Amino acid sequence: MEEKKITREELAKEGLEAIRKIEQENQFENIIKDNKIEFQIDDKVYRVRKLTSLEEQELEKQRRIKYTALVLDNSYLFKKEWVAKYLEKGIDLDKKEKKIRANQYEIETLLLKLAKTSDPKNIDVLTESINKLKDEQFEISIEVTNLLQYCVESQLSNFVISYTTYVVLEVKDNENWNKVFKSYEEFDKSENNLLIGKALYFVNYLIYGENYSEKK
Amino acid sequence: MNLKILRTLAKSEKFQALYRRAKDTGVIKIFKNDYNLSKIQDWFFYYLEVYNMLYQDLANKEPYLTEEVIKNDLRCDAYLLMKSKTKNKKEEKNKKEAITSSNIPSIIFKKK
Repeated sequence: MEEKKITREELAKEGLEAIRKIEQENQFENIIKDNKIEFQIDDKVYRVRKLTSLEEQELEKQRRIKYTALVLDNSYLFKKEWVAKYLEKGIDLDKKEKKIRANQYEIETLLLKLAKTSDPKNIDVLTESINKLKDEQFEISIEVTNLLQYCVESQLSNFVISYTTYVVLEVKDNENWNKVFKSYEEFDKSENNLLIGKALYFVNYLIYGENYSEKK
Repeated sequence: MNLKILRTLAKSEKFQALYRRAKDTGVIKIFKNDYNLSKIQDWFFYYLEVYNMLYQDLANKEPYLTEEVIKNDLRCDAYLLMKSKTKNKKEEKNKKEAITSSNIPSIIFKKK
């Protein structure tokens, strides 16, 4: 079950690449014009939309059920427990997070210098240094995320995004919009990776706004 | 989230003009929906405000701000950071001055 979730995350990232092309063709405007996003795959038109308040209540209930299941399952550990386990194996996650914060401090110091210069050479040097620090920050952040992917908190967050996508994904049938999947189980078992990858990506745009697609 | 494209659109003449008119009249619609904004619309609205402020600063000939800075996202962020730090410092200074010039007597806690 969990392995499938990871695959979905990867699928979302693959979907990103496909959609990046569309964005570069200046179609980003269509994404922001409404609080629903329509997209086409083959001859079918799909959309994702925001949750209604009733759906939000249902999502909350499902989140609670999932959280309880994760907590009662001894094979799942909390983030704090994983951090301690990794430390025993010589991987210090706190130190990595401190490094991310230290880089941020350094980035801000360089940004303040960049704000006050108009010398092209200086701008290039500062830009390069800032980007280098940002790249390093991004790499550490990805490493930490990967190391903690099985913790209760990450699993719950993946579930919530996945469940939301199942609820808000619809297909156009003449003038009507119908749900694509009849149940979450059907959604979970679906092998329509392109559809689910795109839907997950757009749900992120609509509801969660996570910045995992961008380095800078 | 592709912030680069979002920022390019937000600083564009088209959307800045729409935003200014929306601000002045309160009727021009930027989005199809009037409420219940999506996350990306929230972000877009934030950047519309940011660039509107930057263009105002540019018109006011604020130091260190040029068209070149607005075109470059990183230099823009640098300017915004400097502006917020300067603002915080000014506010802190004003607060301290307000306290020292206040007529309210200070409270002295004495040990029993």
